[in-house]
Amino acid sequence: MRIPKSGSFYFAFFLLALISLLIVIATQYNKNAALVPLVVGIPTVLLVIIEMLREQIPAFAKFLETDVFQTKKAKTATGKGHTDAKQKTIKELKAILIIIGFMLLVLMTGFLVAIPVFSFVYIFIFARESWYKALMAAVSTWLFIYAIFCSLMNIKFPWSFLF
Amino acid sequence: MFDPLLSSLHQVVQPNAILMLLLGNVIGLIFGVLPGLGGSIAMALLIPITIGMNPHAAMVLLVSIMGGVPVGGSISAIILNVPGTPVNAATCFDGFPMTRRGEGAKAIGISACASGLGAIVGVVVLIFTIPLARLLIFSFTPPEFFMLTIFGLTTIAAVSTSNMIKGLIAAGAGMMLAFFGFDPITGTQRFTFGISYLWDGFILIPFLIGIFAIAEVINFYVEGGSIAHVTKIKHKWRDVFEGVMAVFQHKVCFLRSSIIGTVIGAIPGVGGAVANFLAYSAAVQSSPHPERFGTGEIEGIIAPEAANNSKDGGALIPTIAFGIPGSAETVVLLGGLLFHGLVPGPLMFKENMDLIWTLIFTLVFSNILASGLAILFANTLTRLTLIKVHWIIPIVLILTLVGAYGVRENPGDIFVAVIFGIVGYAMIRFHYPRVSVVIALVLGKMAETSFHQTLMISQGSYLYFLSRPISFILFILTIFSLIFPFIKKRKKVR
Repeated sequence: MRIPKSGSFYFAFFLLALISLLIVIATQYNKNAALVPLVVGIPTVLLVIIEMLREQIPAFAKFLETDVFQTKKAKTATGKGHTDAKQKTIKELKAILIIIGFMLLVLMTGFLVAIPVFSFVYIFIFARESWYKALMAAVSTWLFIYAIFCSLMNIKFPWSFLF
Repeated sequence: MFDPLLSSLHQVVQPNAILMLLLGNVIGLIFGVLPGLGGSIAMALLIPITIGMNPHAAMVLLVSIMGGVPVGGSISAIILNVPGTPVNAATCFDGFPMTRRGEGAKAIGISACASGLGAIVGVVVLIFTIPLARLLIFSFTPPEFFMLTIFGLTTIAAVSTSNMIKGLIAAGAGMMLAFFGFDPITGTQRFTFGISYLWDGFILIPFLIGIFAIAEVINFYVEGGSIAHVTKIKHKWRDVFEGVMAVFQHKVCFLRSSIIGTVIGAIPGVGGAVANFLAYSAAVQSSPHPERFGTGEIEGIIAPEAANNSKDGGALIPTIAFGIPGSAETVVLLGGLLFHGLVPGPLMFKENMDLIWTLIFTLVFSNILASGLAILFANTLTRLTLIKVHWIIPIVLILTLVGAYGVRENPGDIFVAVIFGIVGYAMIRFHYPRVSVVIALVLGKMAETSFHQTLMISQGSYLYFLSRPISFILFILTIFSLIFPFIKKRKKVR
């Protein structure tokens, strides 16, 4: 059996694993607490399995192209499209890493340090703008957030692992 | 009858009151635009400032915030796909695709006009239904709530036109997410994995911020360029005017959504987030082109915006008549009234009728003012969509994470926003409709709670769901909305 290459298949697999886990856990609850999660969860798992089969077996996908399911034909990337898809995946991973990086920076240093640092680094390095534009953006973003959230809203930003 | 009306109108047009109206409106707009903040927070912050003000001026300040917030929230939903408040979440579905087509000004025109007029409808209904308020509020019991949520959930079928299976999977996943936390009936902790953060389940704002805004940040980074997928936008007033006129051209959708908003607003404990999704659901169900929803359909903006502004008029009904707040904002307003020694209830109608009129006039004027400001700045705001996304990404990312944290000052909300941001992007990438997951999460918990409550009331009889007139009508509507698309398709084929 060939190994599926589409991200869609792995996303469906992630959903299958997650919802199956929730169903197994739900069976341990009392009848009232378990009823609705099981009523919703079991058909959802079946639908995920159908979707995974639809992606892998073309004959099954054709069978499902009816008025009721209204499924579109799956597209496959070839040639130049394949290279573009690879570049797109790299960009997606970069974007996710940037977001996770910012989140970790917030957790390590707190918002008040993380905001100017992230603004400056992003605009200077990733957006390739000049250092003074990046600095201006960092300072103005920090001032805006501080004025609205700290001074006006009195939201406390003190926690962080380092400070 | 007319003395209190004229007296309050006189109070509202005083320079001092106009200043309060402007101030409250601008604050409302700002708090609406910024994710994570909202009307209730802004009002709570301003209550202490109203010490020493006369009650009329204080109420003008507080109620004018209520008018500004949903309009502000719709602007960020349309321009950035960031719902400023949960009541603007459904506006993202069609507002943002219009912005990407370079029609942001038109979308703002639609939203502002629907908001302003929706608020007027809400207030008109408020005026005429005060005598009937008790009947309306108490006619909604658990079976009606259950049928109402099931009716809302049928939208999922309508919005999943490109792939019904994926739509239903997204809805199932959304419902499962709604079951996290304490079971409201048995008190059982469900799916908490020993993490105390999950005891309350997923909080709506960080979830929405993740699934819409952070997912869009990833999309911005991948696609590059600017938000609008056009190189030049003609900044013409005609576009904004076209948007305004579109509301009049879709008057049935507008009126239906306004009435839905008012009724939902009047029912305590349901909330504006439900109102805008139900109005959106009704718009999708009754449209001859449900497949266009989610791609920048005009009615997809009119419906949620009319509903979320008309709901304020509805929410004032139980607040004034019984002292039962109908929304988060009216909870704070109730606090403001009590703070100024005013006790809502039947006695208020006898002793402070002029103040009730002040609340009504302010709600109308503040909505008109907020909508007017949005229309006035629509072209300027649309210019933002031509800025390169590398300037937008850090600002949106910072605002969204600060907003997610600011709701409860809980670091866990940052994790939730980021995780659902990644999941939201995967949903965009693999064509799972985000509308379905959001609708299911919003309505799922209410559906389950009202389901169990009904069974408890009826001692386990399922027939009770159909034995009450309103729930029966809602059941018939649900069945009709599921069957109607197929009947329509058959007719077309013939």
